Amino acid sequence: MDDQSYKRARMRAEQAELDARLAEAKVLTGKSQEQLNVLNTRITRLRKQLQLGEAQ
Amino acid sequence: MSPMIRGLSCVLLLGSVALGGCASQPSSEQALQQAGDDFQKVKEDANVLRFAPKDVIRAGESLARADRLSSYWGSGADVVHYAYLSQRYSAIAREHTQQGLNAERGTQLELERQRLQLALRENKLASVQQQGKWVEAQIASLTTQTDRGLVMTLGEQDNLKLSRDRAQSVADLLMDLGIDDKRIEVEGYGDQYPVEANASERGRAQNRRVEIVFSDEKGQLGAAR
Repeated sequence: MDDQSYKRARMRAEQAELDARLAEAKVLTGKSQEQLNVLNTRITRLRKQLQLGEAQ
Repeated sequence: MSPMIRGLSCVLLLGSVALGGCASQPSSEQALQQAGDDFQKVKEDANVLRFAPKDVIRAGESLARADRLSSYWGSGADVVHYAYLSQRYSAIAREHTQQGLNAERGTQLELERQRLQLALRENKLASVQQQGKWVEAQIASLTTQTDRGLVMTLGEQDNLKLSRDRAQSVADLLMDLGIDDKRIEVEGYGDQYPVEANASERGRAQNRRVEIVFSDEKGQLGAAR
């Protein structure tokens, strides 16, 4: 390989690494969003149960 | 040395424009512009600075490098490369910020959930008697909502779904009262395993039941149904 090929390979490797890190971060963001959704569902349900209790 | 080289590159640039322009030049300018816009946005966001300062610094460094290279002729590919890296770092900074914000919100919501759970326990489990009445009422509402005043023809699938929903609502209640959801499994068996004949309303009512089966200390359940 000539110098140019090495350089191109290094650039592609650097770009690929950041692509992977961004993809990983997106997955983790999605997971944290999911956890928030679960918590919100539970809170809504608890509120409903408390209201039912007060109504009785 | 910088002024001299810059002077030289300007001359070369003028030359290339005169010859019809370098093919990679417009796209590298665009890439630089976009990376600059992205960086500006994250840099101005107080939350990004709070949660992802390192990513912002790296985005800035890559951008500065792309910017420096853009003043040299023939470095279009390098400019595009570092602009790309800068944009990636900006995007990563945004993701990390969202994660931080979500974590903060999650902590708040978890406190709120615990507060509500305690309130529910106090309200509902103040006395054993009250608890019994409440659970009865819950179960009654589960059955009357679907059955009262209606002639229902249920297929096998409907029965399965109903039984699963019924078991799930009991599981939800247990979770609301603080039992870890990992400890709970929900199964629906439809019209299987009746304890009474389905001919009478009384028999059907007895078959509409939720059984709670406890595992042994090794976490194993008795023989499945």
